[in-house]
Amino acid sequence: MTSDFDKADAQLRDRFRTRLPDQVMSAEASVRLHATMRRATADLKPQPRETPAHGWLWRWLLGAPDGGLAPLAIGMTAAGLALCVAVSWLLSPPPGAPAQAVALAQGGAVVVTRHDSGSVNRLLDRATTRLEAGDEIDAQSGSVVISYFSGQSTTLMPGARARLLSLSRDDGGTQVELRIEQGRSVSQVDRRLGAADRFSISSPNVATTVKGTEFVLESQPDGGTLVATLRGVVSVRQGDDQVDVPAGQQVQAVPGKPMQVESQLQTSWLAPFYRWFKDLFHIP
Amino acid sequence: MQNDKLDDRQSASGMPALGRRKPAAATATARADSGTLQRLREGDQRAWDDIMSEWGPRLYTYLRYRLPNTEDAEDVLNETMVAAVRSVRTFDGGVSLATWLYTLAHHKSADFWRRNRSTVELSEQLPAAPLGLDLEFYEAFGTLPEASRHALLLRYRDGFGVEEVAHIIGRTYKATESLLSRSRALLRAATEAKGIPE
Repeated sequence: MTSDFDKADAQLRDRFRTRLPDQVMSAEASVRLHATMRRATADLKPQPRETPAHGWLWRWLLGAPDGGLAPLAIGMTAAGLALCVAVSWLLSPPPGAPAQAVALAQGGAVVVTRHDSGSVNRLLDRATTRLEAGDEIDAQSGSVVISYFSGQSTTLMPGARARLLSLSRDDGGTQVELRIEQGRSVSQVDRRLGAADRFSISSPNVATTVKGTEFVLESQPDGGTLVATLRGVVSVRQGDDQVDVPAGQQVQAVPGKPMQVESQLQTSWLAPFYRWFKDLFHIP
Repeated sequence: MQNDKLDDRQSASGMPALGRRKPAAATATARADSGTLQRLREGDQRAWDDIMSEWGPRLYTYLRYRLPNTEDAEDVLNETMVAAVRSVRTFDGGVSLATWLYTLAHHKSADFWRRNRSTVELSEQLPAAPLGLDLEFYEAFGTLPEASRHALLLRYRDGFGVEEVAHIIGRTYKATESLLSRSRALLRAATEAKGIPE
């Protein structure tokens, strides 16, 4: 039997449902939400299973009749831990280095699209924002300087578009991967990178890895990529083809064609660009 | 003893896990299905698609009635779903998936208002009118305090039980019952003042 109160409550529900009806999300927003979720759930890797403890080892170390090797094991473990801490401290980046990348807009508007939320952040001249892996950076009317951590940066020229593929500190090193989807970029690596460090700038058809250098990478509308080294050496890989481009040399990578390293022409666009670059970073 | 009866009137249109008589210390009744939860934790794309299909539109409606415009509702829904992905491994399954998702949405919409401090006073007013609604009723509803609107929406529009509403808004069961009781009285007075028929 339904009481008056139940009836009133049901009426209230009906009232809300009919007078405040369902709202429908736009198709565009729905697509954006699904794309965001695809990216977010891709990070959910299966968790590794716990490995079973090696009982025999512990019994051997701790359970021997004469008291075992426990003191020795504990001493060795402590010494090992101290050594690990010392090595980690020595290999860690200098204090004050940003944990995340930072983008600085210069001379015009720059748009950053967040990987996690899909939200769009518009930066005006001199504005900065933190970047995380997956974020997209679109240098529209201005250039943008991306500082990853001490001594490394990439400048996207106006009209360039890039995605920060990864940014992490693992295995005692720092790893940065940036993909230039279109337009021109200048990357600078001032410090000599270690074995665990990785700094990779790629375009749709080539990937570069560097160990301390300055270079220009331009992703061109026809699908090709120009890599010109200003200092140091850049390793450029296109499919199975790989070349080293030393300072003063450049390579024009065209999909399906072998890469050839050639001299940078003094009369090319690179000469004034390099001068601009040196002025920007106060390079003597 | 009207408050006692509230617990038995929970089964509203397809919402899972509705309430039973509970003591004042509320715990949401239903638990998340462990199989589904495991698939979500493992990043099973189909499981997440199912969650999106089932709860995405409802969460959007809920957020649309809480936030100023469609763009903000869409952004906060994005943030809510990403928060769900990030926290699924720490979610213990102690409440239903619906309660969990609405709790995240509640926190994200609160974050939205905190971020927009310059317009925070608007949270005490009604957002721009969504589409297709009864404007007079909506205006009467808009005269209620924000907490009352929120509780009534969850209870009567989204069909949650009292203890689930309590979990979502972070209040005790008794406090939520009192809030709902006061809110119903306020709504009745507001609609009568506008001459809106029952």
